[in-house]
Amino acid sequence: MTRRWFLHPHAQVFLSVLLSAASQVLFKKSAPMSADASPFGFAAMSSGWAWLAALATIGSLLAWLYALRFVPLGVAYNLSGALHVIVPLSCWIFLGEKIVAQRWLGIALVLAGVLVTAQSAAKIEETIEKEIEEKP
Amino acid sequence: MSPFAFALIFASIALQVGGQVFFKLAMNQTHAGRTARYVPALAAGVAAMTLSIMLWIGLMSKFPLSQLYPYEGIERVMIVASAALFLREKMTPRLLLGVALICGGLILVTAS
Repeated sequence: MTRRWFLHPHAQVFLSVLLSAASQVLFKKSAPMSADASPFGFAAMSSGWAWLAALATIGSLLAWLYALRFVPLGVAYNLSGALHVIVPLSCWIFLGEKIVAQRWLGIALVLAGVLVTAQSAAKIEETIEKEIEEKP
Repeated sequence: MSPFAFALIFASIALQVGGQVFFKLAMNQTHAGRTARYVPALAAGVAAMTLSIMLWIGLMSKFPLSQLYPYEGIERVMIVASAALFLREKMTPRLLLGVALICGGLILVTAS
């Protein structure tokens, strides 16, 4: 499978999470906090960041759908918990939001949960690889 | 947060859960080789997801992202439960430990 590692469902889950994190940060950039904003967020669509975020969302969705062909929803969704590690880190780096000690601990717990799931997912890896060989 | 905001948050979560289940149903159909079969489920999933995301964007313009994120913990439990209930996926102890750790982490993040 090194030949087509990019098509591996777990790689696609990770790609989906990365794009989703990017879209969250971009949407946040496009929607600065205001008290009188519409609850449906249409106003944000005038911002270029929002459109870039929409593109990232579509890419994330396509990667996610591909992964769902092979990975059980429960497992895939647990793996997508990596979002809660990547998003706060991105907010810290790109949006200048602060992270206190307790929050770092929470992020570490989430990461542990993702790794525990990934380990169990690795066990069904062989089955997945066989399926991909049969249905590219 | 007002009761209306809570209602919007839970509507967004419910739509997200429904959308994910529809997505998985649709993608399971792609293995059957009957192309047209997955279109309705995929359409339902996209519709639910779109509504959910619109609500979420609106909420993000009112509240800090870090204040909204904890609600995803509830969503996580609901999605894994739905996968077991509606999609008959196998729940392994490791998977449940994973959910517990992630939700525990989210609680810590909320409390911070």
